[in-house]
Amino acid sequence: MADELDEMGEIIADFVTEAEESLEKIDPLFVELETKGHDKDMLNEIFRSMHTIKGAAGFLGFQHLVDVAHKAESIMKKLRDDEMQLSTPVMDVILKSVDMLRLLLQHIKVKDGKVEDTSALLVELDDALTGAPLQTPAPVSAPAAEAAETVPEPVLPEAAGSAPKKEEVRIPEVVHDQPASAAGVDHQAAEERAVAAAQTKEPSQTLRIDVDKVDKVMDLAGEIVLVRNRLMNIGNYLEEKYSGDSYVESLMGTVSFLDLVTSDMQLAVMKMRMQPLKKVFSKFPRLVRDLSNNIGKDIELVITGEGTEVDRAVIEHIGDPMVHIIRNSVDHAIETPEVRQKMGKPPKGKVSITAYQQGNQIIIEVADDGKGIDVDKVKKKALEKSLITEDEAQRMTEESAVNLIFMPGFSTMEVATELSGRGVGMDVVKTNISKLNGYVEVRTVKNVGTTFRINIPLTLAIIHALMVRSLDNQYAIPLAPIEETLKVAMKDIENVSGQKVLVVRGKVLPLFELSDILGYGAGQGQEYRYVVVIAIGDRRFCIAVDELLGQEEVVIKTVEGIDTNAAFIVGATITGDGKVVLIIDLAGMSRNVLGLKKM
Amino acid sequence: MFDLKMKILVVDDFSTMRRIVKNILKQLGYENIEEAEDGAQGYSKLKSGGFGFVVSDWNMPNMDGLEMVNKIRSDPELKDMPVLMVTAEAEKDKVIAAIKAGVNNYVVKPFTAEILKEKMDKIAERLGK
Repeated sequence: MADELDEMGEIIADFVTEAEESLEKIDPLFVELETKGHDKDMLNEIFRSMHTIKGAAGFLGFQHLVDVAHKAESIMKKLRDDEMQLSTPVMDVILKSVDMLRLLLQHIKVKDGKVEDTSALLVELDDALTGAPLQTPAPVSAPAAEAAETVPEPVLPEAAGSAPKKEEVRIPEVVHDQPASAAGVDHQAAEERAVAAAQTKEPSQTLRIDVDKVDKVMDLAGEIVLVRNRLMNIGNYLEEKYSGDSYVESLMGTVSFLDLVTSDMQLAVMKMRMQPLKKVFSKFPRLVRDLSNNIGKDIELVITGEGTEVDRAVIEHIGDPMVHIIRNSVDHAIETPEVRQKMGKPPKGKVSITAYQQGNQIIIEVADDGKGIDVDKVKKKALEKSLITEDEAQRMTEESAVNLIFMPGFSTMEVATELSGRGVGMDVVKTNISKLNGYVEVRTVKNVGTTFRINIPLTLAIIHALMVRSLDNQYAIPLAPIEETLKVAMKDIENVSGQKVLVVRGKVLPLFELSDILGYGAGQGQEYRYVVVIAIGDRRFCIAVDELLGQEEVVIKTVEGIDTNAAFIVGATITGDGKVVLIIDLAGMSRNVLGLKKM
Repeated sequence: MFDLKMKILVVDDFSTMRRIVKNILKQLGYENIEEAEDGAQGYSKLKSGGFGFVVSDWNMPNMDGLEMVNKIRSDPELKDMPVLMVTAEAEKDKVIAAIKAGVNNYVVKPFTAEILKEKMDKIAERLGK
């Protein structure tokens, strides 16, 4: 009996996952349908999704789901078979049904026992079914009544209760290699084909695994990286001490093999956690449609590169900041059709989302062709809020000025309305993206549009880092944003109105002592300083340290109990020689040193 | 009655449905059950041999249940394979098409173990098993 209950719980959990996935898949189709009009394949796909959900829900005794899915299915069938015309009211009621199905599934998932009142929706669905001009006398309503009569007495008891639904990732067995390319667009077509191929194969070659299990493997892989690092350290030491010893030589051979295998394993595990951005992007067409309909704007959403794969954690956390950016574009950046026409722009506004891989970074761009951000207003507001000084405002380039919108304390509702809403919670967007070790920048051209560019590292758990020493402490600086390292004489570091600067290849860059930023005070007067040149987006600056210790692959472990944001720390790691070392949060640091300190 | 040891193929694109059907078949005592997620995959599984019965959904991507039945019936090796079609609601025109295509019987979703047994027994009876 217990087994049967377990089985039942599992089936219900499976059902919820599968039904949710099915709804997720059809979500973007609605908007496409609205633009393309009648498309039999799309209509059929939506029909099939409703049909399948209804079928399984019937077995499991979820009567509300059956009722809603059944009526929505009937409408889809009529649309597909040309017995009904697609119209906005019909589309709206179908979308409402999808939302209701989601809600009902959610109740089943969390087992909150809540009962939704579907009667109003059912009436609306009925109206849609009968209200539209019909060419044949309602062939669907008869079986509907019949089905309602015969449906009860579920084979399987509903009360069985489902096992807590766990998150799962789908892992394609065939990992298609996506060449990392700077010209991401060139590869888009090939990539999309690869993704499409992977998708058609998907059901037969995927295995559902608990995320917990994958994360455990990821964790263990991280530990092995640390062990490998230590082994290599010990090996190097032995090699120096007992060079020529055959055992030491064979140890070194084995260690370098371990090194190779570990790297491969790391990559394989990393890929296991990767999922296409489509999972997030598929919600946006609906979002843009609903938002723009509400405020009477006509906006086209163009999505490219949705097949780009990113870490699961990115999938989970990139949605909110992106929604925020898109919402702002739709609400405030893009003008009404009338205004656009007056300005000689096409009446239909455009928001494009582009994703691609560039080296070991994932780039996501959200661009609109709206009115742009008024840089002078941003400066003015930042001045009023004392976020910058008059002097800074004068010297700031337009690019740095517009990025002020990301500063904490910049956004207020008052600013929001004045500055076309761009300010609302943009610092939150930035914070969310920083949590993924990424950063966001914005470019804007008045009356031409605004582009938000989000950069996120491919992997979140293991990074290459430069190990440095500052005073008595060792730190790891993520390698990706480092442009170069220099050894400079103290006398080459100049002082311009209180700010240390260094001329690097003809450019004057601000220079900061790492110990100073971290609050340990400046180092004592040495003759030489080691300087790390950092580039975060458009901004470049230098960090001075006492010593460069070398490169290491480090596994990021979260640090509990301190405010890592305020401390400019993304986490900690254990080095090859067993030390615990803090990893510097360059994005956070750059915001702070460049934003708040005097330039 | 069919032999409880016979190999049964369950064809449905929705994995929950496959699981539910499998569960019901198990309740009836059938143990040897395989799955396919559309007509094309179902057909190629059948070609690999050893199956004694097919329970198939109708509406599936790639190749639907009806197309699969057509292929089965026109394949000399498989033409006598008993097929039970699962449909969502009794739609007369559909059922007639299915029977014309050579489906041995059909069952309307949702069904109980008793109903499934009844349908399978009927097929067995007609086949003289």
